[in-house]
Amino acid sequence: MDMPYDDIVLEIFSWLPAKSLYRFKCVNKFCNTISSPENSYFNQKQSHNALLRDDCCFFLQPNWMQRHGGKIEFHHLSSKNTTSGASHGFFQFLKHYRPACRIIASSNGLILGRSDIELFICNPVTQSWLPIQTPEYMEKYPDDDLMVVLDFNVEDSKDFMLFLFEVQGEWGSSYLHVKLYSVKERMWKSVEAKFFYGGRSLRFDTHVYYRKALHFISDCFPCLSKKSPYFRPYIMAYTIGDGSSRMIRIPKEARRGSHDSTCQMRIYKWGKPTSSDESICLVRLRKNVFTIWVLADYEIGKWRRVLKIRVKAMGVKEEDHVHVTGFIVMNGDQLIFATEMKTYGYGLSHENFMKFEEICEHGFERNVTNLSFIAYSDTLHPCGHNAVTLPLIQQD
Amino acid sequence: MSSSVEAITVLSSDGDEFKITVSAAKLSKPLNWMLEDVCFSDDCDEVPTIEVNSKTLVKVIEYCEKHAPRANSGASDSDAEELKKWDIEFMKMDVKDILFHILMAANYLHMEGLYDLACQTAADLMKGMTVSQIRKIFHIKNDFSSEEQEQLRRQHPGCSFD
Repeated sequence: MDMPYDDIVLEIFSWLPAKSLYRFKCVNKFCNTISSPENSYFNQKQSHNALLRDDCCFFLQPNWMQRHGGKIEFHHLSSKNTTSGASHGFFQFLKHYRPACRIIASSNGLILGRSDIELFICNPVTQSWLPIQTPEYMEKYPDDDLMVVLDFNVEDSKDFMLFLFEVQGEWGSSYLHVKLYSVKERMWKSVEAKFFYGGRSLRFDTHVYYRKALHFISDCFPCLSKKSPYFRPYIMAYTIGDGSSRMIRIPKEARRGSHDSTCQMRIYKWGKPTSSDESICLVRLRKNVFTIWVLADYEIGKWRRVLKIRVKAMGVKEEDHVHVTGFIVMNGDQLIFATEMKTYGYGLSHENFMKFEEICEHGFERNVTNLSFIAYSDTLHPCGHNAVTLPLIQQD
Repeated sequence: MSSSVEAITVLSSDGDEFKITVSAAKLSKPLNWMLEDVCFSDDCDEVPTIEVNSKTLVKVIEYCEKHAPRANSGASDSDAEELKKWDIEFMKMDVKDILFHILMAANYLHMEGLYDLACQTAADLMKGMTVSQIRKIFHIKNDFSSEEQEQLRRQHPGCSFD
């Protein structure tokens, strides 16, 4: 067979994970130049294609306050598929940089990290690093968690979107101040339209970007009076651009018993990007029972229940009492959850529906009762114009 | 020939004859042009040749016929799901033997859907391969000198992964 044309090699390579591209640098000179940082066309194509591919890795860390770091573990969804990953240098950086370092968000191969004093964007494969201007709020209230969101637009994935939501003036206002990070000007810019978020505080650690709006779910603490329109938990959407808010009710069944202290609710992306079944799913964990709904009709807010199952009935074979320490929905079709010892996967759609698998053991102590998952896929996405090499790497 | 023709005959580069329906041919611009030429010319005996070998052309036509109803009318979501499954089955083929030929044929026939699908499949098969396997599959020679190789290793400490 003849050697395929260069553009075919380029096309195939653009579907490879970044870790494989780095390995294939030493195939020949052409393959080396393909994935070089100067080849911005290819970098963009590869990271865009990654948005259409599944994430196959995740970070696991204790769900503490943001300013406190701690151990961060990295795992593959499947032990058979370890072709994706992050660089050795990045793990060294996580371990040794500053007294505490934490991953706050991850999107399209970039992660948003926070040390005790700073915010940064970093690509764990290319080891490029972009310090983000420290928000005033963080300087003023270093112990508070930042309400910050990192995401990409599938249609235009060139630059990342980094939003910061801040409480305005005194507590009690139902509006949040919104700031957008400008990569070009290297500073936070205020967005005119404020975010009306209702009466409850929202969870900013998981959001869903869908239909040009950021969706957040509220907490479920029984803190409001029954007369309040925000008595029940809800989802609030912030439309990027005009800043309009939209409240989406959660299913009746999910509202019932939501004031129970063991009740946890999160929203995740459902289905594959750009496919017709793309939507939002709601996961509720209460008294060791997972219930999952999908928003079947966005306009009228109609939900469809996909699954309701006891954790024990899924197939977990642990001797002691099973306690779920954290969960996430990855790739719009798989529930991943951790117990005190291991992590497991549970299929939610099509041929993998209700398919149970053990993913790996994790190394967190039994007293760490709250773990957070952050999905990751390796891309060549550049951090931005003024990015430098990850600190601590230069010394090696 | 009138425009009511439903299928026409084409030749592969090996000289074998194949039938393709008009609606399936719409998936490829060059194919479509070829068919229009045939349909509207007075000389009906001329059979157009497609520069793709027989083994590959069978697969390309199979893909076109399967995807034609959806591409032409826009089918329901359940069909889309069924089609996705079909694509996965369809792509279960040997990389060197046929996948590269499909890739090149899709490129030559401007069939974006098939091209992306084939590239993605090839990438999935290759991502776990060794450097020497990649060289073998693409018929690529190592054109680095030993100094350059050493330099590359120094430049990209990231080449060693956990």
